[in-house]
Amino acid sequence: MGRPVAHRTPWSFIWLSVGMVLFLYAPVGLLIVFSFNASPMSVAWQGFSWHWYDRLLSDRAMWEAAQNSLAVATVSSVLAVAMGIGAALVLERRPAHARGMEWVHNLLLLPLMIPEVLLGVALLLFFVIIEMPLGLITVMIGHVVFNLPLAIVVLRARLRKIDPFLDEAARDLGATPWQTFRWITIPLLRPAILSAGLMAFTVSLDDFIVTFFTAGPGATTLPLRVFSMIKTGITPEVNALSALLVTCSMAFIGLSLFVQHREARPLPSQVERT
Amino acid sequence: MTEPSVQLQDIVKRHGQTVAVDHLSLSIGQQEFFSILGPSGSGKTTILRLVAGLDRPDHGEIVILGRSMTDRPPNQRPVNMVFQHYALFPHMTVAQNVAFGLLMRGEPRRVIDRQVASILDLVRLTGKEDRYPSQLSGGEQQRVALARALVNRPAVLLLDEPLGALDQQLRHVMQAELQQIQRQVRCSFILVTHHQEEALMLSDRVAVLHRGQLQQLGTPEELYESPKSLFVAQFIGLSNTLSGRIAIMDDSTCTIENGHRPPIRAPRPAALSFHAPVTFVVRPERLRLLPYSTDASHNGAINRVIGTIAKAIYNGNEMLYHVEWGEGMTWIVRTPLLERSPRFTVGDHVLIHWHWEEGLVFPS
Repeated sequence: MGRPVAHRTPWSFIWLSVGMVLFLYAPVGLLIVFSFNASPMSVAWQGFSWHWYDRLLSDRAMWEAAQNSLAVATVSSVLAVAMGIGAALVLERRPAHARGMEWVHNLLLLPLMIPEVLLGVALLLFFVIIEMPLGLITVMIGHVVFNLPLAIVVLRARLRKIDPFLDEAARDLGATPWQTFRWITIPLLRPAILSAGLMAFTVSLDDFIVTFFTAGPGATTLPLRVFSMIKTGITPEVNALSALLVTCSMAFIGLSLFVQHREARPLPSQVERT
Repeated sequence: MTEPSVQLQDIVKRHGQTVAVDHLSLSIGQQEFFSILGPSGSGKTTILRLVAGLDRPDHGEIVILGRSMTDRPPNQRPVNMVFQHYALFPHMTVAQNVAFGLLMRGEPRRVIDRQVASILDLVRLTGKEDRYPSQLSGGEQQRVALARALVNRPAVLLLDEPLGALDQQLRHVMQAELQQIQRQVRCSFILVTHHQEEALMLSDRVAVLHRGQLQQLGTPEELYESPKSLFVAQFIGLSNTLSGRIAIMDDSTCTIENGHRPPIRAPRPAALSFHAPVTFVVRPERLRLLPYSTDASHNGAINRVIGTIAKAIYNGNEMLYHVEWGEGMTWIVRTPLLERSPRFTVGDHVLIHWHWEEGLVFPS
């Protein structure tokens, strides 16, 4: 009613946005739609069916892969966040005279820049050289390698916003270093811990390349399973599995963004004050 | 005198190349309101951090209530600090913030509740227990910081520019409140400030610090009436200065000459030789103004110079005159607004006069 015309978004802009979203999500949407296709051939629509989900959920090997994926994602994201807290604390709260910390930081972030294939090959070589049998453990270690820099970036950004005098105030009020960490640092870092954890979990759940190089027999994860199924042609069962994975990932990313967003908002009563 | 609450013995603290605290020794009495006054960068905050244990001295001893605390971590010292920007825990309510110290000490819940309630009553924050720091005004945050420190019953309370973030009016209210609280809790307060008026108003004794060195230690009156150095004289209160050389000296007075300006008589400084370069200082309220036409009887004990009013500022309880005299020099003269006292306007020719004893002379 009272809104000035000038504030309305131009149509060209809206169409462009719609086009972008379609470009990004059409393949995924199609994949999800075809996971409900009754036909065993992926390309022709022959009516709606839950058939492929039924088959998927009754597949024992699939459940095993899901378990592996969950185990890897949980362990690697928890480890990455725990190590990330330590690294972020050292990087952000270093004594003034500690030089060269920026280099340590850059080194820690390097795995983000290294092509994943190289990372996978390097890890494989490393495990072979130290004669570590490939299995779930090696996959977990591999995932920590790429999750750690991710966690550091998120945690360090949050830590930078926390007043370092809070630590000193706690110490002054009689808290030991551990109590300060427990009652001040951790609660204030909590949103970053959650969102870093969720992000690491999601990336780990989806990862194929590093997993492919570091997994041994019996350590098949869901992405590996998808890959092996595709070798025999794209069946709607693959679609169904992929649809589930996509939905899970999106849910986690959404949750992570929500956590970050909620903490960024001011307290409600802060708004009502002048 | 009873045992001092804090003793600093020959403290040295360096930050990289710069010396923040330079061989400083201080002794602060129990229940004393002690201020450390200095311009920014004079090392005053560093002293508080050393006492609190947040920094370690490079040299010297810190003794609190008779026990050496130099190597104790901050959580084992009977001192608490009110930080400059309060450093309230944003994720805790007012009550939780205040209870923190007692909780860390492992006091039982019952004791904590009672003490938190009584200290919040003292700082007049009853009813705001469940607010978060972000929901409080600046003055309220300041009082939470005060309560959070005082609830631990420290031997010494350290205050780092506690009123710096408040506006003028609130500042005055909080100054009065601080003084009253100090009388009630009976622990010694060490206040760090660059605000000389605040230090003079609140403190029993003031230490003036410059570049990490103690310039003078004394009661507010001593500092104002008999500063020991030019720095202290100029840092505390307003002062009019004139540089020159000692021309004539007798037992108690000397005469200072500066170019063509009339010579000025002043108390003779100790250990200064004839012709030494000096700076003469006189406080604006020690000067008197007379209309130029008045021809008072000549008296050698009275200095008089002829000037012109350049500015007349009315501020309610006094007049501040800027008087130009002797080739571009401007002195400030403060006169109370008494019924009989003459008023001057810009452009008036006046006679500034004062007794030689009112002046101070320092080597330049």
